[in-house]
Amino acid sequence: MQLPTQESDRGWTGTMDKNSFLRVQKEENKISANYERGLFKDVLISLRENKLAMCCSVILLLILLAAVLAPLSPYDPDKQELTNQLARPSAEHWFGTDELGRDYFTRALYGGRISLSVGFLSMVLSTAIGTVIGTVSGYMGGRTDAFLMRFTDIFMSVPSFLLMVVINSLFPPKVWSMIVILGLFEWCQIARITRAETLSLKERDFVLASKHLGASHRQLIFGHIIPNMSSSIIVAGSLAVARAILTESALSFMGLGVQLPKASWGTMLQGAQVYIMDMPTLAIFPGIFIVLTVFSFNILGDALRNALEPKMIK
Amino acid sequence: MKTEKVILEVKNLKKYFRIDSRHVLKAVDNVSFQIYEGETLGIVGESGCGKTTCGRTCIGVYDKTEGQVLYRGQDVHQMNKTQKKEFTKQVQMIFQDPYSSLDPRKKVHDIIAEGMRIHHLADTGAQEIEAVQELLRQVGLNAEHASRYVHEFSGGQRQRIGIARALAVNPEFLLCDEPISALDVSVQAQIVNLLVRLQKERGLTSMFIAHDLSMVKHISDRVGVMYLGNMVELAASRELYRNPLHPYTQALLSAIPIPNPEIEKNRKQIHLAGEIPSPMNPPKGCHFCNRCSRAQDRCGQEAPVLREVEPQHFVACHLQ
Amino acid sequence: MGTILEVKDLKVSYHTYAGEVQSVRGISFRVEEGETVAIVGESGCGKSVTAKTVMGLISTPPGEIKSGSQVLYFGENILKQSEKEWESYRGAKCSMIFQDALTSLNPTMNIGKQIMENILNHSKVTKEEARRQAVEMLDLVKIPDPALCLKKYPHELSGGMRQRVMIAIALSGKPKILIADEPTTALDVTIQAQIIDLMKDIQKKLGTTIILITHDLGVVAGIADKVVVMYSGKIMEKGDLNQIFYGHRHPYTWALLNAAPSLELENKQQLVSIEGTPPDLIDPPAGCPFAARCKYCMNICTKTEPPEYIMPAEAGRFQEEGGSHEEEHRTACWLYHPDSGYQDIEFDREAKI
Repeated sequence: MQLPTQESDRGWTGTMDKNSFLRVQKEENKISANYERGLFKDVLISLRENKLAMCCSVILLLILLAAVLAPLSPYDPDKQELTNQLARPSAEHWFGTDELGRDYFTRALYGGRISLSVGFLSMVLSTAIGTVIGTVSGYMGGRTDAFLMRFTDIFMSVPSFLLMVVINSLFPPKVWSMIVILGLFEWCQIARITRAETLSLKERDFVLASKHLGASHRQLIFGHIIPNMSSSIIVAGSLAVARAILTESALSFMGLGVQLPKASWGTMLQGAQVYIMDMPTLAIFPGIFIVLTVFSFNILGDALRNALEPKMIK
Repeated sequence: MKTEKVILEVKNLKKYFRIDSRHVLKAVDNVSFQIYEGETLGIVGESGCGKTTCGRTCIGVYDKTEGQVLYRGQDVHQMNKTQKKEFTKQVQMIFQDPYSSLDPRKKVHDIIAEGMRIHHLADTGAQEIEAVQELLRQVGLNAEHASRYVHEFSGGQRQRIGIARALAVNPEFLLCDEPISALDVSVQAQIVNLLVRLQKERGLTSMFIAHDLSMVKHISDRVGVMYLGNMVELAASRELYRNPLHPYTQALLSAIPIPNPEIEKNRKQIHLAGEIPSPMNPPKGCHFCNRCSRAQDRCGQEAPVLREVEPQHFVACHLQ
Repeated sequence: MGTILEVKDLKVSYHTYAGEVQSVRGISFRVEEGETVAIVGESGCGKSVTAKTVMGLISTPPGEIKSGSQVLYFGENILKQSEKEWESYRGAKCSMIFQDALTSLNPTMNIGKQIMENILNHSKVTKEEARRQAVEMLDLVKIPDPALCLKKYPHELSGGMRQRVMIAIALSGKPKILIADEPTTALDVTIQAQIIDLMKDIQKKLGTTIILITHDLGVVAGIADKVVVMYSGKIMEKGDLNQIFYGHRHPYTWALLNAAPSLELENKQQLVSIEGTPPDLIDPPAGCPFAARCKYCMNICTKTEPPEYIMPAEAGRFQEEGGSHEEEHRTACWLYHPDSGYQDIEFDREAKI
């Protein structure tokens, strides 16, 4: 029989010896797992690529750190020093002083505590309410779903901001009541999202498989549906924080937020109005904080959504 | 090994889906057959034939519209909670899509152990680990795979995990809903070999649904052919291939591409006119009559019944 | 009949955040005018990327066609074309149809518009003439009532009809090459048979060269003249139809052909399966890509890539007398090195041991 002829030298350089053509002993059942990156790592890598998102994460971390470490400031935010009113920013007072001589930087830090905690805790409340309503609605379907969704629609059609204005003007709010009020009006969006996710998840094969293994409703919802919605909830949550901070600032600016002497950034803005011509820094500093925080949360929320989305499908 | 005992009996099963006020999708339209203990029944058909709906309705995943499905004499759709739970231990399912049939947030160990936990099959944690390891070994995976997440695995491996999950509760009946359609050719062979081996070792009865007739014929004892909600022919797999009696089966067999150029070039293919009608609007009488080359007047008026025309060979056709 | 398309040492990579995915790692093959070449392989082998390269559909970035790659259309390297030249090439010289007709057709335009758009893009005719040609095309693909079909929208047609429409659109520019990327994978078996017959019919009528991308060897057996077997971005074996089906010499080709149970096989026999999974394209192993899964792997297979060996002509019953193609049957496998000692290996016999 004719021997095969070699068509071309593919440029291989190798030394052939007597062992080259020995058969390799294969182990039985050697199946190697095909490694793809984990979901978490995927997200981190995707975020790292997004320079803007990285910047925003750093900014948020710094602001958070500053707010947490506020007590380290040598100044008392409420201590008035009437001899040093409206001082310009200097080495002593980084942001200068306000109309009552209080160190503005320290006030900004403490204000951050209020703004951030109201924003974050109201998000927790609204997310909890929204997730419960959305999941129950999507899972039960039928009339329960219809009822809960109409209920949500009604809540969404109420002009929430105006209602908050009315409530707050009738009952001057404390920090905790601000959290409750904001939480009570922000859950609708999350309810819609979780309902949509639940509707699609409950038809997925793995939920069907668990159901057919005998899993109870509780096991299905808490074991399978909610964990798989967690990425959507995180994203919705980060956007909710941004919205809450803005709303709180707006209410405080109108004098309907937390009461003095406790001040959030919005309250500081309100106080800065009168002096806008003489001391614009009184408005600029809290304003920048608000803008940076809200912007960063929004960008981060968007980036998270982009990072998670294609991974969620496959 | 097929026995004479009937384990699943389907009587005049109908499953309709209401699409909107005017349209009803007749996915399964009056289907009757039996599955014997220990056998593998294959069900083939093209899109719209209702084979997946039929399989899922038979094991109670879907509610029925009409008819009866009896598992060991018990009506599948009339079970109470306790009976249903017991039923899920005996009857399990393997899914088509390896990417959506496993929870992406869970580790492999938890996925496989879920059934055991629900039915309290393992008394201690150590027992559970041992059982999961044993299952992994049986399906051809490594012990260390138990601590990984699903996305680290390929399609074929995920399908193995799905099989392990189904076997964890020690079922006696397995519904395989197109388990290999989403896999590559070389991987399909792996999974089919695995299923054949497991079935022999455990004496499982199974219903194997697919659209690849050659694979179905290879793995099944008997094969049923479905068309537009009806079962048109049912016979032993070798008999069906050698002697197809229904015009649709004949056309289907002649259309399967065979990887053998000599045969391909020389065989005469039966060409069916037209397209498969929509299951929302099947033709009156025999559902196949508008594409059948040998249709008679009777075919358009009266729906044929699945009858035994030769020993153990059932056909639903007026021409027999 | 000359060589209409020649691919020489094609290398295509995709740059992803996970690394460089080397989809195609140096392949070469020739297509003669008027014949049908099937590129077969499993998912991830690079066959679709090859097809897209010939159509100029690789977006760079993230794709990259490495220098040294050549795709010669009647001798001219089309990889060096300008964008304008590409536009006149696509549709008029080379056309492509895809797996899923529903997503490949524009859902907001009716069929007539989509066909006429392609005609008007490539030839200066009046609208009336374009319309006439469109009806002619629909008739060619055997659509009943072509004039009526012009007004329909894609979602109003069935899967088989949509595929025919896609073929009609692809052929409306009168291309010399038709690339079909898994055209029947999503279709039912009976419809698939119709479409394959249609493609054979069109080739007879118009003399179109067809490049068929598929993983279904049954479809290949029915329509192809030549076969190229790809795995992990490289060509394992190539030859004409009979050589590949009856005289195949590469272990991968053998395993692929035997993985599908023939209708003759005894029930429930263990099928020939290929253990393992395809290798990582980001970090491909040195040596033959199939080495890790090959039953006949030798030491050298894991170290160096095998060169292509020309298989001697088989003195078998399927040898065509004075075959029109002087194409050799080539295999990239170390088994056929003069010193290997395994040149006359018989896979079937080995498997049974």
